[in-house]
Amino acid sequence: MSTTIERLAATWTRVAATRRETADTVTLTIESDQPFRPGQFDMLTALGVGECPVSHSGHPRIAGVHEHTIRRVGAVTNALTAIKPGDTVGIRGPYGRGWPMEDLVGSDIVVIAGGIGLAPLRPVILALESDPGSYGRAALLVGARTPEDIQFTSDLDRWNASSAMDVFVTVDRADETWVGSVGVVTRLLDPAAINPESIALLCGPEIMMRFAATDLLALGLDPDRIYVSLERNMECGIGLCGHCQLGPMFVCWQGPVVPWSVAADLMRVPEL
Amino acid sequence: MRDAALADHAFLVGFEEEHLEKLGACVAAQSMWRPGESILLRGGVADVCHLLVEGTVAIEIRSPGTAPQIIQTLQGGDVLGWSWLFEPHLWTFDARAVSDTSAITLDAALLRSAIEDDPVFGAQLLKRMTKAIVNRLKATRLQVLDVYNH
Repeated sequence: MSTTIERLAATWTRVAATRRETADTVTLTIESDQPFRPGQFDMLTALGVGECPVSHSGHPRIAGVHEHTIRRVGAVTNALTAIKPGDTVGIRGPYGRGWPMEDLVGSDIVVIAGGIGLAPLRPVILALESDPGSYGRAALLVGARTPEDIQFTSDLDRWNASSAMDVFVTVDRADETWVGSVGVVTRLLDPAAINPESIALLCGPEIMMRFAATDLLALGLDPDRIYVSLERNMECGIGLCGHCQLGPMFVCWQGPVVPWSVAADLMRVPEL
Repeated sequence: MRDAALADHAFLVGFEEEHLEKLGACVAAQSMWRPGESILLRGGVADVCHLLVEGTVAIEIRSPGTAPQIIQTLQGGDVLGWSWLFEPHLWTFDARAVSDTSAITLDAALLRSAIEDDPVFGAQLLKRMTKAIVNRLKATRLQVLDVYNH
């Protein structure tokens, strides 16, 4: 069993490739043999700048590489998104509880992603894509700010062409050249015709998840079968420092994925 | 007369038979638009209410020198237009068909008369209109929060 110090030590590893997803978002492909579960995150370090939590966005069953998709929002993510192939990054993890993959087997699944929230859900969808016979009908509902902010567009095209998945995309604002949907992601629930027995996986801004969960409950979904991925200020990743505390919970190891039955009350407390 | 297409429309699910008949008497046309065709123009007289059956419609706002901005898109099952309910009965936004679109078009003057003549029918119809308006308001509030930009 590893010591606390060992669990907090980063490994320096090579970035094999980078891929620009949107103007402010980049996916790093990092050499690593460490297995992970969809929904878990790593702490990534940009040398001399700092460390931040980043969810896995790659295929959970492809050994040897990890993918991490990073949106540029501050000093550390500025540095990480500027990394070039061949550079090194610090990596430690994986941390946290991921999506309930075992419970998805045999179930209809609705995945609701907002903005960069599609990244932590991508490993789930890639797993479904690899083994469609093990799951029921899947619906992916994606919301983005503008058409230019939609992440993983080539994946979305491929998933949309697949018979195992229905993909719906909407944006908050667009000009007349956009022929898709404009409006909030919850507006996609009607055309997606959700089965009330489905398991729902939600990731995105908390306000979006709250509205989406409320609408899913109204459609008859069980609050124990709606899962959300919470985002807090993860620092240590192993439940020691308390920076990510949300009420009685340390999000870094008791989350980030929790059922709505647990998250709902916590997300109502303004002080948290 | 009862209109089968009306009874099947998502906006009217559960609407009572006698009220469907009353609404059927307000049907002015079965409308169709090709992609890019204008459906409503801001400032125009709001003399109809469209119950969208199929297709996608963009609600837009235009200002001189800038490209039209889409505020929201509507689909089959949605209601297009509520300015006919409130004076001065003028459209406040533009609407354009994004794809091949069809709708049941109701005559606004007949609708307003039917609402005045039969308060029970009026209350049932306005309850549904209000729910649609509230849902649209809720969605718009979320949109203006610009939640994906934080």
